[in-house]
Amino acid sequence: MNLDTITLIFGTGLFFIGITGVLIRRNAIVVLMCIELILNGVNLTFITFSHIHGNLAGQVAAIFVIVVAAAEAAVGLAIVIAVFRRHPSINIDEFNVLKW
Amino acid sequence: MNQTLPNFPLSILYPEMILTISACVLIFLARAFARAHKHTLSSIAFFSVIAAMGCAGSLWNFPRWENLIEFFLIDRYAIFFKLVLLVICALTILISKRFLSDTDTERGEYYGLILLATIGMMIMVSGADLITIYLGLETMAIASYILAAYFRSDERSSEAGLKYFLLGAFNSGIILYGMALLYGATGTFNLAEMHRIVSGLSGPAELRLLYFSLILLVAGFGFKIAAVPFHMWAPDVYEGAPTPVAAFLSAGSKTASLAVLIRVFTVAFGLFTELWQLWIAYISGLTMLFGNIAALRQTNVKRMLAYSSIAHVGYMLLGLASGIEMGSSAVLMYAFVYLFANIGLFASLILLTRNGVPKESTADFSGLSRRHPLIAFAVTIFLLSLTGIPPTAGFIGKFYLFMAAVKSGYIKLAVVGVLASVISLFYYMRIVMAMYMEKPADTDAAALQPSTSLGYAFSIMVFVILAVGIYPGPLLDLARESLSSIKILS
Repeated sequence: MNLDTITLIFGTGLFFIGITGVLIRRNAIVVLMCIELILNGVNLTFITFSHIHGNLAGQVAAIFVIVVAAAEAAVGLAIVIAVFRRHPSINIDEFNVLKW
Repeated sequence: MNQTLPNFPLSILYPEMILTISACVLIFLARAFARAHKHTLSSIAFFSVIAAMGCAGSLWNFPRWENLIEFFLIDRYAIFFKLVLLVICALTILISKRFLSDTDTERGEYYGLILLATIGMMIMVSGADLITIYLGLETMAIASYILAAYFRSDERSSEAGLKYFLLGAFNSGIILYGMALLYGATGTFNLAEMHRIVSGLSGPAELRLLYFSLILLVAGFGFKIAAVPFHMWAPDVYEGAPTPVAAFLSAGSKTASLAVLIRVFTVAFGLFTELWQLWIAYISGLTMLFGNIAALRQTNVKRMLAYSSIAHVGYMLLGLASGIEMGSSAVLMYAFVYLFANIGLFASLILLTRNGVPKESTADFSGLSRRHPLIAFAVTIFLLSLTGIPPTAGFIGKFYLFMAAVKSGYIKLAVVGVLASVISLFYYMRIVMAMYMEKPADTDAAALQPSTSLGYAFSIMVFVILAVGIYPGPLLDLARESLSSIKILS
């Protein structure tokens, strides 16, 4: 197996671990971490394909994704804190004022 | 690949630049003079949107719109959607003012974030490159997460914000993975180039990657436009978010995502048209039926509007399924027509809200015709337009959508669409019944007096709905012309 195959499998694995985590974990912070896993899996995929095709566009995309992920995490944590102030739990099953 | 920036006139970026500057002013400088001059905040936002609209409109006859910057297209398709999005933004600003000043939450950030979200949408519809589209999408999404959670002290609003954020971020990961696979199959991010490369692909591995990315992108964009079965977030978010924000999201983010969906699928997946049209047709049928049936049993008007907006996405997808030529121009027209009636109904909810206490059930509309006949008339026009009854614009929009579906052979689907519209008649007319047949529970007419900006918004929306309904020709030509630019590209 060459390096490209290994990183591709690794990236796909991270993506699916993240998906599974989002679907089964009930803690908002853990869900947030799983979303980061998804994005990192995507980044690895971008970089591997960039290496396979021999152009830099994929690596540029990965840098953009990192920037966006940081902004997203900042906003997400702020929202979690705002919710936590009113509601001393971050279990997403307990947010049921609106029918889920 | 071009290594230097092409020499382009800066004027093609004026709409985005004006809004960016104004958003920065609103967010960073507003604190300094906010207390004394609260009313200037909304004026700054509103007039910058009007200026951006003028700049975007002046690009319509731009001579070299074909291939100026390879990742940022200024074709007529983009300009059409930019104008639609700016109209949505302007109407949202007009209807927000009273709602915010009632609850004493009128701050610069609110208008700044609305403008930022609009900038993101405008970048999306101009995107000719997957990275540009993704960045626009995220600019829009991050600003709208904050907007949905804008009322920090309100439990419903922060819950809506959290749900929107978690599901939205999850979904953007899925879209991104779809884009990564598409890049893997073709080795480029540019949509037009992708179209060229896809037609030369034959290896089974590449084709498999393309199929997977198509599935992921359908799911991802399906989530963004709230099509069944990816719609679960929409009712919760629209119900919990502040009413003007719900109006903005249900009109704006859907229109922008639909524009991107049409561009990506017709250009990059041009060769798979039959395949994705079939999928879209199934999704459309499900969405129309489910949206309307679920709306039937809602008592909260805001939640009912959320389901009805799901149903309307189903009608638009019906047009998308029936082909680029006729169907998509009907979609463009319907997107334009739909926004006025939709924002109008949210505006009427804002009008009923008293001192921040929401009045959102059907019963709160009872006797409106006696309390304020003009408003009751306007709400009736909005509801007729959503149902699709002449002489309103909604009729014209639906007529062209169903005609396109019949002509392209989706007769069963068109029948489903008509049946779904009949179902929608029940829950829309329930509000009309309440307004005209029932006695008012609350006889205080003075409290219903709309503020100046809300009054303007109502008259603009009623005027456009009736004008398009009676004389639809120019709008139809506009929609056709904007679509012709996308065909040249592919």
